[in-house]
Amino acid sequence: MFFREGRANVEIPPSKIVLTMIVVSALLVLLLGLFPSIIIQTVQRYF
Amino acid sequence: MNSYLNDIILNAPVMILIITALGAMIVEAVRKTRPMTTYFVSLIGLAFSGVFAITNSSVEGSSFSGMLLYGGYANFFAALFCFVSLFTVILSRNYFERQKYHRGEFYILLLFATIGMMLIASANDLIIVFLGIELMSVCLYVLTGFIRTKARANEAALKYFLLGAFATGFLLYGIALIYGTVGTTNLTMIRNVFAVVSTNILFVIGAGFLLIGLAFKAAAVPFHMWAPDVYEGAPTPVAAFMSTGAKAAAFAAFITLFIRTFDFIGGQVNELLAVIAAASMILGNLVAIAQTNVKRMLAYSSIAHAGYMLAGIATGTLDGQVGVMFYLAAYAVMNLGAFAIIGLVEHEGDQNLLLDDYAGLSTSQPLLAVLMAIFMFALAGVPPFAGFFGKYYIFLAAIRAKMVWLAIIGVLTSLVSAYYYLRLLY
Repeated sequence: MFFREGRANVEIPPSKIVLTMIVVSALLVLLLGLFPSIIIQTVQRYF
Repeated sequence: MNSYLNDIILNAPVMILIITALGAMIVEAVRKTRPMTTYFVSLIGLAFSGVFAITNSSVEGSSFSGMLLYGGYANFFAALFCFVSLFTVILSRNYFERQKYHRGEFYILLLFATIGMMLIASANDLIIVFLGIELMSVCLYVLTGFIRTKARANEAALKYFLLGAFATGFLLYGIALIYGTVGTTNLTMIRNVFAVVSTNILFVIGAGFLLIGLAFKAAAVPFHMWAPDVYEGAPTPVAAFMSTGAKAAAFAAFITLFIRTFDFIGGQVNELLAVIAAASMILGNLVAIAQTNVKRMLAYSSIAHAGYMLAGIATGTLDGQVGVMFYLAAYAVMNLGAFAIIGLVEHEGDQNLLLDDYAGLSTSQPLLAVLMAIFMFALAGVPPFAGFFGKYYIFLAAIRAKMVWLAIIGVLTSLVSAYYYLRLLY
């Protein structure tokens, strides 16, 4: 849908802190995907 | 006296949050018209608690007469809950200001729900599991209907409350039956006598009731009916919090009970778990295709993800347990991000929530469109994002536990999910 013709809009632009949190989440999604061992090794230590 | 003080220090993450929540209540009572004060108090408390949970995770043990665990496993979940809650607090301010319903008590309820989640993850006693689940659930019922002027939110809250109370009954019956069989609610003691009592039919029925109660909280099939209506009716940050934090808490309880305490590997209870997992994956993904409302679509997707995680629990192995914990961390991050963008695109009065409302987002908000695309790819399990490895570890655990059929269903339903996630993009 993003790439279709349309008038999707955001009423009020997101605040900097919200945008930062979303960007941090996206980076974490990528980081955990590239280096899953960060969590896996930490978790394995508990058992 | 000294030993209690020591126990309080050892459980610093949860204690910090309790003090923060009580402090926030006093602040709210004194400065009722200034929700921003409660907002900042909550942020500081959650940040401190999260940092404590991460830095003190190496020392493990039990406290409060063996009722609560600290360090390691408990702190992993405490850090995860703090992150989820912190993210929700930040999202909520923006969201509720736009909805013209910014209230300080929202943050207090969120803090108490987080405390409940932490108690579930650090529980070493069935009573603590129950207390944690109730504390979390009661706060979530209120949070769902937080915007009291919205009829749909009220309906969602009532539906959630009634069905939740029903699930609580099952949970309590399960605890009662297990206590009746074993004579204790302490999980360490139950683990020690498990080999003796596991053949007792009342114990197995009790474990089955616990499974039903927890499956409701995790929104697994056939106890999923509440999820789409509640996610749709609840404020978007609350839906984000429920789909990540509450789900993680339910799975923390699943791991504590069905992997660390009970050892039903290859038994009927684990077979039942595998069937529930398969049904959740199939129903969640298939019904999500038919949805036109983004929040309902993510609700059905969350049912499907509960199925993936239950597949890890059903293996009953260490691999499955580690896979589920990785999946929970990955799922929390990607789902929070997706809900955050939905909250931004949503207009006042539940407007702009249909798939068609996202047409042209790449032109009007290119950054948000790219970020949403990342979250959708990750939820679909496309490499190199976190969702791919989450599924990989769980399916690998299922194959190693000789549950190949479960892994095949997981892979096939993941392919189906790619259709509805990527439909948001194209």
